[in-house]
Amino acid sequence: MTANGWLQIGLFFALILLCAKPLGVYMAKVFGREKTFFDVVARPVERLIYKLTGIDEEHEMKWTEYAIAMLVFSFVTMIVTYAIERMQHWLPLNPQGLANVEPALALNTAASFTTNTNWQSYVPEATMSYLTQMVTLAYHNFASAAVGMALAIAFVRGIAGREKKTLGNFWVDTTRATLWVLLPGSLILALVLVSQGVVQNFRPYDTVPLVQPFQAQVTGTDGKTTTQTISTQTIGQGPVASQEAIKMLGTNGGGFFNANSAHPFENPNALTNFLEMFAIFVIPGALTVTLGRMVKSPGHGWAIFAAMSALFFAGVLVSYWAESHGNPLLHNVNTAATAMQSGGNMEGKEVRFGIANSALFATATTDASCGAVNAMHDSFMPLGGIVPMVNILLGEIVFGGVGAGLYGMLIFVVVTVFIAGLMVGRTPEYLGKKIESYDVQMSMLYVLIFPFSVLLFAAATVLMPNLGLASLNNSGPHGLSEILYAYASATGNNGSAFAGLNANTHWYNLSITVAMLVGRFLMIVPMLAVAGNLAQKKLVPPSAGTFPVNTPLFTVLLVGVILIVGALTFFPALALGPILEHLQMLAGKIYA
Amino acid sequence: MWDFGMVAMGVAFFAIAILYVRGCELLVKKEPAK
Repeated sequence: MTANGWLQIGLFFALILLCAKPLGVYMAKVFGREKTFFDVVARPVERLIYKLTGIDEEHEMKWTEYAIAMLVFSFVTMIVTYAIERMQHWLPLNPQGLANVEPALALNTAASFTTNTNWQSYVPEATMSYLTQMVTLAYHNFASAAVGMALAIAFVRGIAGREKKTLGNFWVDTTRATLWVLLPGSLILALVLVSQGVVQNFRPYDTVPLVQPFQAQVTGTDGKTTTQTISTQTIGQGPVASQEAIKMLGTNGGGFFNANSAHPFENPNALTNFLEMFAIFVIPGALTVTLGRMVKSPGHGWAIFAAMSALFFAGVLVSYWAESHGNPLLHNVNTAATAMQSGGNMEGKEVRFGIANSALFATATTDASCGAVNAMHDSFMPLGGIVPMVNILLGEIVFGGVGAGLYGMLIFVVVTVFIAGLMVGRTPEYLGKKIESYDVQMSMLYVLIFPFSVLLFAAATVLMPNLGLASLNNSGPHGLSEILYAYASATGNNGSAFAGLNANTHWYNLSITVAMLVGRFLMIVPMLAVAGNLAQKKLVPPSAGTFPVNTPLFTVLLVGVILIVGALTFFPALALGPILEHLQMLAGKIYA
Repeated sequence: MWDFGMVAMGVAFFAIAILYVRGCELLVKKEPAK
């Protein structure tokens, strides 16, 4: 670890902290329908959308209506995405003449982008036409992020509401999230990215001669392998910047290119790398301030921000430390950074930006449900790789996905307040609302669905040699980590891959599709049920026995509950995966 | 045929999700909020 690396990590966090209040207050005004400076642009467009679609913006929805509107919207857009993928060969904006996407992969991708997961079992530049990338995938980057924000705001209204039966209007919240926050933010970021060298065009791919031709083993369509001299390279093009901006700002993570943010056309230099990491955290960080303002307890918002920050720094510390130290079995290799050899332990890292920025990117992208990558998580040290995995397994509530991180964290707040109530033997209260059995039942349903999906699918996969294990590139505990990570990433709607696993098979495409849908929609429903139930409660005046939720003690208890729930649920699986791999590495055994 | 199967899978999941909303709603009616 170097002072320079920590300086960059500190600068990144300082900028998130600096932007949290102004952006958080702005979003509170947007969702509270107060006046903002951007109304002059967005309000006429919003009115036009409601006029064309027949939406009554004054209509308020109960939690059930809100949930069903969200489900119907997601279903329709998912099916349209599937249809376009299946017909892309006959549609325009396909200069490479790419074939229609195979059915199981098309469904997997449609579910992936609808759920804000952006898991990619395919090589984007060789599979998706420009039309598919723009009309379906980039569209979902906006829509799924806007839905996440709308749901978080619905939950916050549930906390803030007094004897109300409604949570707002799903269509209005989604529209306002898009017009006031995501579109302007993406436009600015896309222009900055273009100015730095991210491509934005509709050109066919370039074929260029290699400076240094090389020989490679190539398997032909007849299955025969021959040695060929490779003297040209195909360089992908496309409308990348417009997709890249919302990919990061909406914590989506699906790359235009297979190499994702390690591709120079997606992430050309240190400045774009910094901005892309900043874009992951800026909205989720600010939403804590939005929460504080909407529930009229700014301190509560900051207490949650502090809990998220503590978990973030713990993750980045472990990841950076593990990656800086490198593999102890490589006794004779100098992995220290020197004037002659920049970097140090560069296995799997983004070589342009070094260890600190690889560790920081990996931590941020899995704290949030982004899933964009600039380094190979599969090649990290066992303890470096455990950080992204644990971040996902904790529920991606460390800032988290736009909206999804906040409502996930608020469910943990309900559980924390309930446990605090049990400790002192009083009915738990949360910001003046009594937490009763239904709230705890629904919160626990939310908490339990996640491990149920992750562990069930991972267990089923390791028990199937032909369908599951045949896709692995590594044996032993590392192979288990690859499978566990895949289902954690899918259910957690993260979308990053540990890699080392060929997931473009029928089993993985279909099981991961179900995991993504379960992890998104079956968790949202109980969350909205808690919000709807909280909204209709009376406010109880604070008393001597009320547990304050804006103090350092609350922050410590919240972090403790998150870690204990995560450890109790996933420690056995982690012990068989990365922890065992680490111990065996110290004993001199590695897995190829 | 594959397309039919894939769309049916999507329809089935979202139908279950809507029933699940109804199930969660029924649970709350057993215990009116105070």
